[in-house]
Amino acid sequence: MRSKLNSGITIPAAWLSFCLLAASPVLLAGQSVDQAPAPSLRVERHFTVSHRPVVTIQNAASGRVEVKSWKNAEVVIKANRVSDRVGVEMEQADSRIALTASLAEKSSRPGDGESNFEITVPEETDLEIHTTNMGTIYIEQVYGDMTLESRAGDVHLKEVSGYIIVKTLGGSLLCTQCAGKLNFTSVSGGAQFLQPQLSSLSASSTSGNLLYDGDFLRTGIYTLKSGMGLVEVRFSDSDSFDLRAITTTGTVDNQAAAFLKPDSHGLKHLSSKFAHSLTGSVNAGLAQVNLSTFSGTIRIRKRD
Amino acid sequence: MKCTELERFVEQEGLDLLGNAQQEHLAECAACQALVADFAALTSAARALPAEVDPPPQIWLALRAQLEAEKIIRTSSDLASSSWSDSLAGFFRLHALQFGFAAAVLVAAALVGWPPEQHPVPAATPYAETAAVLTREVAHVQTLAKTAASPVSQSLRANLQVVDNFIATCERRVQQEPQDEVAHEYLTGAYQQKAEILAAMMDTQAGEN
Repeated sequence: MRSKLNSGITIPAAWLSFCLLAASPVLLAGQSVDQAPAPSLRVERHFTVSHRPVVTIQNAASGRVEVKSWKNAEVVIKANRVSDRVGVEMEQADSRIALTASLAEKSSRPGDGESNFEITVPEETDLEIHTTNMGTIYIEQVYGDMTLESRAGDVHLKEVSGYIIVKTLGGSLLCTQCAGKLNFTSVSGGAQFLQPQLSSLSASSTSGNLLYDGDFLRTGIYTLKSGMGLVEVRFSDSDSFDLRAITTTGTVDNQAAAFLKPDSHGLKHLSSKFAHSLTGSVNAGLAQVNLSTFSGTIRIRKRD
Repeated sequence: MKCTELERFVEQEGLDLLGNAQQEHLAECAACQALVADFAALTSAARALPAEVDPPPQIWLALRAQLEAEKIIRTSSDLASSSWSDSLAGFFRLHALQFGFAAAVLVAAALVGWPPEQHPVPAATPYAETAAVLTREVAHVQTLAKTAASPVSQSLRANLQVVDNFIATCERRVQQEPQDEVAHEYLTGAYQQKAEILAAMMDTQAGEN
């Protein structure tokens, strides 16, 4: 089989295929350059700060907001927009840095309201992040007070500490090696607290599952509450805490009965005729653990 | 004039009415000069404060549910109680524009006992008025939502469904066991979440439409 070009010259089809294949990397490379966001869609700003900064982010675009730390006294914000539909404004007032991402007009193409943000901050930084669209908030190794609100996106925290408030409607929270005090509320989002060093935790979700897998610090207070979901705690045999689990119409699955003794402080918990409850102490009962669910399951386990 | 007299005068009359006697004492007394300077600074700072503080929209609804739970306000739909629901409905509709102002007005009205014709009476059905207002607002939001098909709108609708299901479960429980305080607590929290979702839906749709 032969292909005939307009010039009337005939060449073997196999040879034509070979030439196209050989040229394809060049063609593809050229295509990728053409399809990459134009330079103006990428924004990068540097803000020098003199002391512990406060970074506020108001993000109406969808996409990921990632915050990491470094040793420098400087905040760097990189925005990578898919289209110029996303407007990005930044301002600095001393050590307060504000980032606002807004959607300029109604979307004409799917995905053009997306923008990813990479933010680098000093290790000790306070954060205030509000996202009203889809997209994950990811924060790693930042030490400071944080208020994080997301309507539909997930929140991932890794090695952060401070007084942390996380509020979502549909997004879940994954919290790995978090320290300090944390307050989480959600409608359908769940939360996992893995290897935490939290001295205070209040986690509440209407339908999401809540998992606490880690140590309970002495004098710590931990409250996990889910309307319909699973509430599970996994503790170690060195932990010391008072436990109170209560459910209205759900079940309590106590897989650590051997470790749970009558309340060591002699505190009489009045049982309610409207709820099923379980109380007891592990070791000296130094921390306080309150678990509740309306119609879900409470599971108490000791880690292997 | 003594220092205590000047202090009392400043407390009662303020700084604008200082007379000759006070001025003469001030000219000679460093302690009172410092006191007057502090008062002046406080007055200046107070004047710089915003005249209104806008509470979030869900505060009013939570307050409303709590008042119903404590039987401080009635929930029957007859008599003048419709003014409450109309106010709440109006509040939600104003949300997209000026919900802060509306909330401030409503909260203030609740605190001073408005509307005056209402007196505490036992609740016929727990949270009936709150539920009715929210139901009407859901219909309003869903009308707006016809053109909103973004992923975040879908997520909000899914969450609204979750909360509605939970409210229904809690309501059944409260009707079966009116003394179950834990069920009341869950139900109040669910109403508050529903208000938050509706506010988020309005906000999202305002951006999309």
